[in-house]
Amino acid sequence: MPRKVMQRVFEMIDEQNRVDPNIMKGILKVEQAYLAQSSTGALGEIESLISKAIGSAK
Amino acid sequence: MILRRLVVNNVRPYRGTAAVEFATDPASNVTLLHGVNGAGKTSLFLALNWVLYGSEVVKYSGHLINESALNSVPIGEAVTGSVSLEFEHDGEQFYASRGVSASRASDGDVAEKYTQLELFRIDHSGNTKSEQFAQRKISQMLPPAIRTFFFFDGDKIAEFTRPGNEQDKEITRAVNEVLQLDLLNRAESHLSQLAKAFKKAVAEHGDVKLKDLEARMERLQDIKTDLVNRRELVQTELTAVEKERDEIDERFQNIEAVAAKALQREQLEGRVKAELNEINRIKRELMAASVRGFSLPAKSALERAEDILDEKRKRNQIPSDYKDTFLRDLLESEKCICERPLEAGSSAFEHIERLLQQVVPNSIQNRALVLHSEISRLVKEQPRHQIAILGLLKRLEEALKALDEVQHEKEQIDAELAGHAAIDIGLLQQRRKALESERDSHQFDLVRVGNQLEQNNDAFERMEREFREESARQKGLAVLAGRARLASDAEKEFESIRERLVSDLKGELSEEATRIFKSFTWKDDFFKRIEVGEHYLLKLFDVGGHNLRSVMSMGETQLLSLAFILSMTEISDHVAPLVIDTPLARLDRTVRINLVRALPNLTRQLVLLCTDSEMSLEVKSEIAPRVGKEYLLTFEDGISTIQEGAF
Repeated sequence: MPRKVMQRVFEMIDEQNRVDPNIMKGILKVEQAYLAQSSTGALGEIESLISKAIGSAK
Repeated sequence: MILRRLVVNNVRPYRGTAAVEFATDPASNVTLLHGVNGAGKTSLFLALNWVLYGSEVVKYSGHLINESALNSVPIGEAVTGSVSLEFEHDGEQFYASRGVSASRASDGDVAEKYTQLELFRIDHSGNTKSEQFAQRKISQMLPPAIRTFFFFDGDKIAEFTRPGNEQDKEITRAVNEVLQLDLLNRAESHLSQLAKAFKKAVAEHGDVKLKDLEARMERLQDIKTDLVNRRELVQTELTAVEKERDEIDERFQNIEAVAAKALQREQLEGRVKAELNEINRIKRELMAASVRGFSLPAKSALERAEDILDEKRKRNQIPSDYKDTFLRDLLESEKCICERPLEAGSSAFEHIERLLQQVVPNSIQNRALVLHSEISRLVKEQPRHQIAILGLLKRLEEALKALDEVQHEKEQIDAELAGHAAIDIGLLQQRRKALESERDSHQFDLVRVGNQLEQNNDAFERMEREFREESARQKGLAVLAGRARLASDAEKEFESIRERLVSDLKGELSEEATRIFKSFTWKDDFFKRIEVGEHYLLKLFDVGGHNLRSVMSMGETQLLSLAFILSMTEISDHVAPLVIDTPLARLDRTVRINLVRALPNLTRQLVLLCTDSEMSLEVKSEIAPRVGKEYLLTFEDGISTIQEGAF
């Protein structure tokens, strides 16, 4: 996503602030990195981001 | 990406090495490459695309290798060619290169092999470092999917916004790819999958109640998916119906326009008739004036006659000092008026006889006097007749010219009207009514589906709360439930942000495209705005509120495409050169000037590949202050050459 548009999305995330903005922005960065490489590994990385945010399952 | 230098070697019409340095200074950011058709412009355009994206992406016909170079080696022997590009991206310097090797078989077939893209990063000291995954790197800098929005054929760009379903999809694709809005869709989709997986895990570890809740939530989620799809479908149908209705409205406008033209033709026919009447009247007047001025052709003869008669008057020959009757009376009475006798044979008698011979008879004298007066009158009247006839001839000329103009105007309208077959207005109105009814039905459906979605979401949220509370009660499941909640909440958050963003972007694209379009066209007072509607459907409205998209000329469609592409690049922050092959061919003089005036300000770097006819002196003088580099391409003896300088 072009920087200018991404910045707008980040601003909206901060404005809405219903979910931790750091997690939201982290998810987007992961998506962007994988999209650029046309890779499908984003799901696993987002899962670990969420798991890290909530804590250990065991 | 900023282009610095392109070098071609044995590629297409370029035999040996030819190079182009691009203008990089923002104040003079235009590189102008011009030459006649076939001089090698499109080959340079192809070379630029090929070095960056390769043959898999860049389509071209024929071979890449230079024919003359290939012919210079024996059959079966290979000859090589290459294209290299130096460019800057995000403040770093790069060097990209791609090669081709070709040989001709004995049967005449040419086989080409291409080398992989090589990409080097150049540091400040000039050291180069080879980049791994070169093609991926280029794709990150300027994705192949959006390449065609920066490097394009000006002549074909009109296709982009030409009305039609495929073109509308093309616009949607362009927006999604240039602005990469799919990123948000991907995040939503991944979060939805994760939320589902986390809930499933909770249910697997939980008791029957949780499993039941999880199953019900899954059903609700499926219903939601169905409803969202249904909403999308209804929205698509609604858009199609509105589009068809707009097209009918445009046809109604066309009908009005045709009716107006027919009226105009009727008025012109009246004017033709009036002009013909006027011409006939002038001809009649001219004929009468010619009769009155019949003496004009004999002007010199009349003047001579007047001179002769004047002379005779001066000599007292007309009227003479002696009347012939008086002289005859004297001779008959043989007596002078002093009563002295006049004897025949006397000198006085003979003198009177001589006088009588000289004297013109009275009747002829009188006629000569009348003739003299008549000729004098005719000579005096000649200038007046001449002025009158010349005036009439001038009026006749003007009337003929006016007739010619009116007839020409009428012929043009005849030609315009000839293409319009009779349209069944009743049928159109009937179809429009049906579409209005369909639209109402779809709008009702949209509201209904929206309400169902809302109810479904409420039910889902209630169940989710219940699920969380239940799972929280069960030891060990709280963390999993928390993750499910976070994934679900994040998904909703992205959905809401995407809707806001799309709405904002449509507004901004509309505003920006309108501003740019108006800067191109000379009819900026006539065009009111470009509107980016549902599914990014483009509409161009005039000041009367009519959507003009289906009645635009090819040149205007080209400008609309360009304005829309530039508005996207303006809203995104893609720093990429705008490289346009044949940018001005379809445009008229004023638009060409407006375009070359506006374009350098709308992009960081502009490369124009023009024919000489596109780049007239007037157009060139307009863009000249922004031209940083200029090249003339020539083609001679089968080989193209590039010559730098101002031409």
